[in-house]
Amino acid sequence: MRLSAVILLIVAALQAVIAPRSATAALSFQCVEPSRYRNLLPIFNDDPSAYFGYFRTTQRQLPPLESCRSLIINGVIGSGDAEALLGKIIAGQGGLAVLYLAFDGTNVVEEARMAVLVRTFYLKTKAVRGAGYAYFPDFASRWNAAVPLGRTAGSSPPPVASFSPLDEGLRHFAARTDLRLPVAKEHAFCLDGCWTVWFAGVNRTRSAAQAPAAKTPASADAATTRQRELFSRYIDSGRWPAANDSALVQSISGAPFWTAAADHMLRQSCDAELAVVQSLAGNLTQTFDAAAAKKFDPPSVEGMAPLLERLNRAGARIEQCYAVAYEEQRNASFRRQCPAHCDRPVLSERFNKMADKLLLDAGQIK
Amino acid sequence: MRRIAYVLATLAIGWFFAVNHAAALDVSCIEASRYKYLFQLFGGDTRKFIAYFNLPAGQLPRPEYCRAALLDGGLSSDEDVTKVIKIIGDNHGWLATLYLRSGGGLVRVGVGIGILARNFWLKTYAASQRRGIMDYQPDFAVPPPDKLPITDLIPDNAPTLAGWQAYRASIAKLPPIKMGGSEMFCASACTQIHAGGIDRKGISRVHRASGNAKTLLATNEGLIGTDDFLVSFYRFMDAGPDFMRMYLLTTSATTTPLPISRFARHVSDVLAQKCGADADQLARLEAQIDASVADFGSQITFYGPSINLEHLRTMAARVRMRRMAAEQCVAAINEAERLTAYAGLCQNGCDQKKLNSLIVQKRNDIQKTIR
Repeated sequence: MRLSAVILLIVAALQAVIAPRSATAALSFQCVEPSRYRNLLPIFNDDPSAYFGYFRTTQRQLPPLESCRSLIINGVIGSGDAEALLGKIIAGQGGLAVLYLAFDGTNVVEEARMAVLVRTFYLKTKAVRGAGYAYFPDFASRWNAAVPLGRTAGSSPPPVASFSPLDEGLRHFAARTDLRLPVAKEHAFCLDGCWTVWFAGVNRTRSAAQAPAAKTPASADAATTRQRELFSRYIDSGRWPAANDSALVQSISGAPFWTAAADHMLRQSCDAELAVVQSLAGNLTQTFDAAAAKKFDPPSVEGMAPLLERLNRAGARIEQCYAVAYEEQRNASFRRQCPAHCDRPVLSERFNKMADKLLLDAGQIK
Repeated sequence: MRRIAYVLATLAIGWFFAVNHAAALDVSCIEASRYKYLFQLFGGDTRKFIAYFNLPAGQLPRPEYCRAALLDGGLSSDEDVTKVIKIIGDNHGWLATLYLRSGGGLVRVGVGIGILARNFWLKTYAASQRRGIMDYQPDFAVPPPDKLPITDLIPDNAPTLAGWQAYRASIAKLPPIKMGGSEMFCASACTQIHAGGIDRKGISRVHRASGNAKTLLATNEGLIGTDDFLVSFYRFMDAGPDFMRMYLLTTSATTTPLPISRFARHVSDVLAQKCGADADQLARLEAQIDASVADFGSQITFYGPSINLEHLRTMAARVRMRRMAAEQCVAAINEAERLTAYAGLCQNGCDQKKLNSLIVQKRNDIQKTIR
């Protein structure tokens, strides 16, 4: 082992020990209330069969209704936070799917351990970048209703069935008054080590950026930043980048929303749905060009309505297919780690060792 | 006999039902609609303005004239009708649009202004707001898309992107018209004005009239008479079957928000025939494509591979270009119609008495159509 790597590991270990004393707060892991399964079930008309049907699961077992699908993580990262996250994952019994990240600080050991947990348990991450971010389910979204293109002035169009089977439930859900995330004002941004955890998400999105009230100086030095970058690239691709890899100069916070592995998995799982939507998009182009040739006279415009409707329906099916694929992967990941039950000490040791080893290896790349 | 009873009851009670006791109506020019600003859309070139509307050479509004007025407040007396006549006269036929911000008031006043709107060939827009500020948009053109499709050209004389930018810059310092987010912008008796417009936009909030006569029997008969009249009025204005149905179905204690069809059916047919496209239908097509872009873009692309959204965006832009031409055609037809109507009704200035007689006559005509 190289001396520099040993030093880095010692520094990291020291940070882990010292951090709790110097940090203003350990991270808080708070349930996003609307994401409790009992609050999500109304989206499925309170019908477990609709829930199982949407996720195409043959196991008729709901997650515990009091458990949370999403957590918001707030504060300054410190020692023991990865352990706390593991506790939350285990408590969720596989139902925890999304982490909203609104924390800052630097503690590479804890960051790495949390990142390993996030990737191993196939969690999605969302970076909070300012107050006002609202929760919305990660498995479906509301589709705009079809705009009638017929020439029936003065009367309502014939009722159009929703594009997604969950549209009606989501419409009611959107009326909830508690959707705004409980973000502490002083930690309303994902900063520094938060991005290491965010990058580990299998599907990682970020809220629209707001400018922080005050620019906080980065809490990590250049060596730590590089160690983070290398570690994150390994977590993402399963291989170490070359020391002079041009990708390393790009900030991980600008990464694509889903990983290369997830892209492969989604394309495999939803190949049929994607093919249909591509085909419909092609048909629409032909119909559109024909309408354009007729200068968009009323009958040709009306003729586009069925295709646009079919395209949106196909889009909603892709969305569902992606939700199912992510769900299956996450459930499988949980079952792999906790076949009959979760052995917390064993899991803790396994993931800590894995993260520490990766950090050590990252430190060796010059 | 029953008909006569209804008519009497209507005249005695129905016309005086205040469904919403709001402050008096304020009728004012919308500053951003003064022609001196609107000319900026054409780069300040009034010849292009004339060409866009296909007007006879030299037929121009004075720069200070207003194209749009805001009707703000309750419909509480016949004075309100007078105020509308005055602003029409003050602008010598160049007033084209009434923006409506009213919770309602007297049915008689709403019907009166609605009849004026139709006969002066005015547009009626239920006011809407964006971030607490009333949203005013010139009524006769749509802006080009931000990215022009290479396949289409901007119609001759239509305002260009530069023109829209110049217009927006010219009105940037005007005081904004503030609006609360929870206001009912056009409700109750205001919907009669909205229905009277020849080009209608925005949401109307309808409900049955209410009132209180000496006895419940008289109240009931009076209100049924009002119902009969208003259903006929809405039919006459071609507000659409949903409008009439929801008017009858909605209790006076609440309101039902309804989009109103942009044009009366026969007007829509003629415009589509003359312009070779239905401007309103094209607007809906563009909205549908935009919605698809938004749905695919904001939802699927967060989770995994999607379709080529750029292609859909280009489609929306091409529809917009066609809309620009269609709206220009509609604008020219409406402009000619409105100026002709004004010349017929206010040849030597707007005569209050003559116009009040017109309202009574049209009201009686509608009364005769009660089924």
